[in-house]
Amino acid sequence: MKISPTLTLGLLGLLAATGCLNADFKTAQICATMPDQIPGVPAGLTDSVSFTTNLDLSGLPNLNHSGLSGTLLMQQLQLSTSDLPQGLGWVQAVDATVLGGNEDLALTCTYTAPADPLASLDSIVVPCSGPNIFQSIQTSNQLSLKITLTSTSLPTSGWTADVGACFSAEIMVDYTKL
Amino acid sequence: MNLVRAILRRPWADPLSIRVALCAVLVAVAGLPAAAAAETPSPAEAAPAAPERLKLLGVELDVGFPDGAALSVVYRPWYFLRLNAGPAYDLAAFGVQGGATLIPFHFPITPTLTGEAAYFAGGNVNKQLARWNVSAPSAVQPLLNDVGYSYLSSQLGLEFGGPEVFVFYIRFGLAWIFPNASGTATTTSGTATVTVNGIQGRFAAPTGNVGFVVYIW
Repeated sequence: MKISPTLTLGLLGLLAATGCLNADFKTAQICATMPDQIPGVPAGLTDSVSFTTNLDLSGLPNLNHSGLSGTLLMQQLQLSTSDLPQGLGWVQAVDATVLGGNEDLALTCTYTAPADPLASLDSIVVPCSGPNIFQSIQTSNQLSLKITLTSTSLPTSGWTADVGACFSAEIMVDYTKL
Repeated sequence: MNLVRAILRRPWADPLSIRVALCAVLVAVAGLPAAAAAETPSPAEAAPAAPERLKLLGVELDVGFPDGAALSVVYRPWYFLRLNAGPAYDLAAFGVQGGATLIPFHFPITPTLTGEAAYFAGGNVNKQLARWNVSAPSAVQPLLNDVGYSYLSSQLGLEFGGPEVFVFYIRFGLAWIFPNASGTATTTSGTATVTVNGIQGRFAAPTGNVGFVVYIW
């Protein structure tokens, strides 16, 4: 029995048009937290401190398939420490950039510092938004983040911190490309 | 004979007119017995058998994927259209489903085209898997504690039986399924702890049903 290429293409087109050849899954929030991602910040810095952290997502299913595409949008960063007496109350501004992929992608993080600069905060939550960073993690299953904290009164002693990040995620699967 | 000759001499008495008049008389004479009979009908002819009314309501029971088992009330406004709605059970939770079936032929064997929609409340999938001695990966299990879904489907089928009272059917088609898992799953990835709060999705899957309809009223 000979199968007509035209008929085959027509059926595939019909299936694709009706959404039969793809699927999508989304989650309102996926969060990753890592301990000691800030291994040690020396004392005596002025104005700001920057560090790079890697969110290891290698334990998640491999996303590096040509039939997979997606949207991964940063929602918030969370920093916490127990090394400093005033915690992270000294932080006045937070900037974050996603490293890797084809280009570095700057995120817009809006952190509202407490009115009292001496307030003690064990953790801070920083809402962030920015471009789709799915491709940045698709090939490596990890996310490199450069985080910069700005303050006029940086800690005078060394400290470490845990880093967490939350995202909204949507994965699209194209069965014809898997 | 004089009378006949007199008639034939009249201007309208041409041969064609005569033939028409004779035909009219014959038809009238032939119709007389029928007319007389109509005036005095027999009891049997007085109430001729009316065509049997199509039963409008019935019940339907079917099993299949993804709707599990479903019991429906059936309404058939015309022989070619059947509407159904009722509860369903998918082994994890109860739901509601409804649909419409086009039946082009009022015949003991006929193809059908069915469209259905359904909604199932959240159910514990882990418990159902345990019945079959199957378990999901531990990281995923919290997500499966409360899984609901809705779907749209279209199916082609065949119906067999007497369309007046009982039909058995088998159908196959495609369903667009919209699952919703509302649990929270936590797993470790390297040094990271990853938490997923709920998943919604959409995918297409084959669907199939077998069932029967009994028309009652």
